[in-house]
Amino acid sequence: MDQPGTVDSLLQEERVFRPLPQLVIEANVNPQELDAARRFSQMDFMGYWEEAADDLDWFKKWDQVLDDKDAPFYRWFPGARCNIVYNALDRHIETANKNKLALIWEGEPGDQRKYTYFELYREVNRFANALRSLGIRKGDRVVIYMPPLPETVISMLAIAKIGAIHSVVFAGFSAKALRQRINDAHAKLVITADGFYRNGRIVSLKETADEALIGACADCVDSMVVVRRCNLSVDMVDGRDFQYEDLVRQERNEAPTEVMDADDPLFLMYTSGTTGKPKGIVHSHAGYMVGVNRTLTTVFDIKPTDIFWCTADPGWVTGHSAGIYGPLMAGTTSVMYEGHPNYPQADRLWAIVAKYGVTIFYSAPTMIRMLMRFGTQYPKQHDLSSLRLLGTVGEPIAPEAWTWLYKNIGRSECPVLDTWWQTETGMFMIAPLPISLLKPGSVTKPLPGVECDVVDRHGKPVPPGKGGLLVVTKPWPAMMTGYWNDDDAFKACWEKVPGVYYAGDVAKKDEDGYIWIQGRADDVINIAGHRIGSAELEAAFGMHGAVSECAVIGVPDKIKGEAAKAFVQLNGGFEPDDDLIKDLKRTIRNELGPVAVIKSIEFREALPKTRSGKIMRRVLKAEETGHDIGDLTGLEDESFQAPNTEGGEQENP
Amino acid sequence: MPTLKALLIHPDPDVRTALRDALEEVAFIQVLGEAVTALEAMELLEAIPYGVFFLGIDLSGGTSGIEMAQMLGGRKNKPALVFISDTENQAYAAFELGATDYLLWPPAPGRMARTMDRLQTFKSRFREVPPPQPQMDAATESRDENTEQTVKLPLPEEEQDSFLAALKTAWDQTANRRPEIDKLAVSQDGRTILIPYDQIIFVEAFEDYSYIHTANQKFLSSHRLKNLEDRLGPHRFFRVHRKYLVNLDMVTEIASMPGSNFMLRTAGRTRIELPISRRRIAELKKIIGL
Repeated sequence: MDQPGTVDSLLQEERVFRPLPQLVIEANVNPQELDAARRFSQMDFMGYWEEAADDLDWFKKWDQVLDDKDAPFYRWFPGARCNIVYNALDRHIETANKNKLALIWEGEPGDQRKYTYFELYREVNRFANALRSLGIRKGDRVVIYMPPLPETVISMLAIAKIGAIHSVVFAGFSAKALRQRINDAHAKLVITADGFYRNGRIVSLKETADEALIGACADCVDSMVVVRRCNLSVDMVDGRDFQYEDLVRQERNEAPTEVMDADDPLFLMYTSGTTGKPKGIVHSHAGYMVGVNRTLTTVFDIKPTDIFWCTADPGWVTGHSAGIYGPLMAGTTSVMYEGHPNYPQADRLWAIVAKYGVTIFYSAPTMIRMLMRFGTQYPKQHDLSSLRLLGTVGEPIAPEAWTWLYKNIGRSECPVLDTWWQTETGMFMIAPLPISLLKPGSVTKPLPGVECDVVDRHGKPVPPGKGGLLVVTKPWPAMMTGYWNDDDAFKACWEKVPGVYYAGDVAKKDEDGYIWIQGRADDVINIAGHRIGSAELEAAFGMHGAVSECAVIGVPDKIKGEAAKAFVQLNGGFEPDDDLIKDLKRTIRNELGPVAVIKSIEFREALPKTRSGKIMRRVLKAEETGHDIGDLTGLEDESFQAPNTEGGEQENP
Repeated sequence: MPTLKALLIHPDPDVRTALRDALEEVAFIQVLGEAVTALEAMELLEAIPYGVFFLGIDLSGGTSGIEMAQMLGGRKNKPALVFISDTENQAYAAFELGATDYLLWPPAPGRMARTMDRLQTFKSRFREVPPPQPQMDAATESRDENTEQTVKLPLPEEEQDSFLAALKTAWDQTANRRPEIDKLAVSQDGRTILIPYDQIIFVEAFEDYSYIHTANQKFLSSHRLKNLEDRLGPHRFFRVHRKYLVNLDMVTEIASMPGSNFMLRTAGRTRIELPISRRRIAELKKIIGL
């Protein structure tokens, strides 16, 4: 069957929200300036990004803005010399930011630590010196296997400061996943903690790290640094393991910042693997810092009084760009929380917002859905009036969740900024600004300096309202500079749709030029010739009050070729019975029309998710079709097992 | 009989038990909780209006009893402080910080009675302040659900054009406006409240008076709607109905309706919905800047 790569679009959401005038008046970028920036970037693409680069400090300026001779191996700012840590930390020590809080950290048991820019700068210097004395040099890889702790931030910055390459591995990963990443990166050092607090329990971490090193490549890890967090007594291997505080105690407060070439690697980030074996995505100093700094300050309208909270773990790119590097470069104060969002009860996030006066709250749809399940009584117990902007990232946010967040957390006053970007893009690509007109469920338009389009498989733009493949048509500064030791995989991203970067998502563009993400291309379901994105079907399920979370996949069907099957997690108080199934099906038909036939609905206690909270439809699909389930090291719960499908299945009569 | 609520703050459980036993017989004191660190105590104080703290000098968790007394220094209605120590050497510091008593532990026979006398005196001038209410208590919460309402107003075809023209002027982004600080005075419960114009969502006529609706509340004003229209008209308010005057800046939501019409909706708890016919969609989109 010939499939030009277009996708049908069923979900119609026509609400538009205007920002309140006060917000527009106070915004850093007003609507005219945004228009002007868009026009400028379209007329003079390089000029726009050159101007963005001028916002930062460089040891030596670039010879040219972009070298595209060897496309798709684009080189941004060739000839320049810089270090992202100089911009994130060193330069603030000379300004009024010196004594401003850089980081407010709260542990799950309620302990707090706060660092001013000056204090953080000195901590980073001391650990940078310690790393140098451990023999870590420019270009060496260091794996950080840590929960969100101040030392996680300090480690990342110290590693980057001395020109080494960090790769943060989420603390929830297993020994096997960690070993895979250590081996692939050929890491010289592992930094970990004795343990951390999660949901009222202590999770030990050092043991897992030890286990990962058994069978790791023989010539890679020389040493391990252990941060004391829970006072666990851990086995220290003589000559290999060092306590963090023993290392930094003697070190001086000053350390030279390594001068890096523009495309020297800054970090490796292994993708969470929604679609295959994890790959190490490489980001480099110059382009990454320019892209992240410009887009974060534009979208989140950073002001000197802001307290910025990105709830993502530092183990994800969101934690890197929007949790650590972005806010530090912008000189703002960020909040970091160690533990479980529902500990001791479902209002912990709101308690933190109220306690520190958080003004910008950036989270993920999966988190919002979970909090929705607990209702509005928890946010109502706290004073959330300090909030002025809300943001989400990670997967498409359904209009239902969008409006819940807007109304119950944002008092119908704070814009909800749904941002689209990936580990590969490094920076925000498509996102509204606080002044933008918002349509719930849409990521609005590409930011100035970013060119995106919705095309078919041959690269031809599809008409408005029709879904297609989301592509980025021009290079952007914070783009990954490659996959670690895998140039072929990198080239493949540019070959699927010739000459442009294909993100793996399907989307539609409406008449107003607004982009709506419809889900991963792998998750498109073809029902009798209609290609429908899973996100649309799931959003329609979300409109039914009984549904907490939902995943829709395509299953083989004799008549239609493929049919949609839904896995539904119910809200408390709803019984999974035949009446509910009928009711759910009716809802979908009403919302999306007769094309969207749901063949069967299965109720689940929980859905398989990646550790960053994205639903893994691949796992469900493999269960259904009996195909190989693929690499599961990124899965939230590795003990997740396919239930006996004969027992739990609710088949359509 | 009202009691003084007491918190026992001491790292030694034996001391806390002994205190609890001693206070058992005192009718005007009610022991309500124990703590070992200053932090815990301060957190409990946020929730419970304690009348007296029995606190040790050396506490767990890095903050001493004396430091905690300093932390309490600036508070109104702070609880009485009865320090407990095995030496006298902090006594001066304690009384400097307004201690009601300083007990050497274990107390000499009969010494506790004197402490109770002092607390009795303290109690006579102690006014218990109810704990701070959560942002919205249960009562307002249930009211919330009920009062969230929508006023659907008809907007005749012939008036839609002048309405859109007004929207266009009001929403003109190129007009460089400065935030205004004009306010409207209304009286409520004998107090005069000033409401900035940009917080008014709409005004509703009520006989010879009018209701001023803000995001969360409504206030009765003695002005007639006509007066307010003259006054607020230049500030981007528009009379959409015989009885309603709407702040065009507060029209924040635009949605399509089943009858192939569009609808504009204001922010706030009580919202106004205004229909706009499908023929004017193109113009509406131009005005909002899509």
